[in-house]
Amino acid sequence: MTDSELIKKAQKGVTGCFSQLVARYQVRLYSYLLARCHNPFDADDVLQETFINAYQYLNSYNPKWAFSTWLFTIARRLLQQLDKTYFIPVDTVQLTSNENTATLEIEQDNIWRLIKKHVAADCYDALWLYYKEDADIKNVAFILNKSQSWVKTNLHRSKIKLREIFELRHLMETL
Amino acid sequence: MNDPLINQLKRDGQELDRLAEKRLAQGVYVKPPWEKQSEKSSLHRSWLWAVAASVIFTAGLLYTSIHTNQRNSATNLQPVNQALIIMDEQMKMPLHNEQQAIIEDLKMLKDRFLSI
Repeated sequence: MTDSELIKKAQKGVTGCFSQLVARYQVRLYSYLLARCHNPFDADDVLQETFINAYQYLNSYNPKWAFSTWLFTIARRLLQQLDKTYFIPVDTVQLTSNENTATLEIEQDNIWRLIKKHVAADCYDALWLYYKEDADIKNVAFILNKSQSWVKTNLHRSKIKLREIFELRHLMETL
Repeated sequence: MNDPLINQLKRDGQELDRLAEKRLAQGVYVKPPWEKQSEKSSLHRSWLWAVAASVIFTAGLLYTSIHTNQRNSATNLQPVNQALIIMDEQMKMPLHNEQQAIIEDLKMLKDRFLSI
């Protein structure tokens, strides 16, 4: 069943269809939130809140945009609200499992962790959506509530900056 | 794509996907409210059905009991009615006798007047 079919059914009150939509998008959304949030608990909360909001306002969903675009827009808005509440240094990001004491960590050399350190939040999101989510410029601009030219310019600038860091890291590794 | 930077962006992004998948499999977040709502509504619906069924059952029982009572009362009332009629007759009997006595007296008075 396609997304639009599931959305239509979910709008009519078939809750099982919304669960299917959640199952389709939760990994993509959660991986974005895990890398983006200050700690995994915030990522859990934002993930939960995003789907609750999507469920509550499903009737106001505009089919002109992809469902993933809408979900990321909601998640970003929630993240912005969360960012206003506190500031924690990015390097303290550590993922601890709720189920056991084993610690899950985003690899130190994961490039997204590096990007978060060196790039502004909006640029990070633009990079994630464009390169990880394969969203087009139009969708990225919609999610970020920016113009398409802003997205293009900042993607270009972020890429230059990243390339510099990337090359520097390679240089450091070879030394 | 041959750009090593973009390749790494995608590869490390997929690594985060795996991490997310792992955490979701461990049940990181509580049961979604839309599922709770669906359970609640189905539970609510089953309650409604149970109430509706019990109402229909009670109504059926009432109807059958009233119907049989009506039929039974029609047949059962015959001796009762007869007993009531007898009782009524017995109660009215003294009055009837007295009436008869008064009539007799009046007749006698009438005869006496006529004989004068």
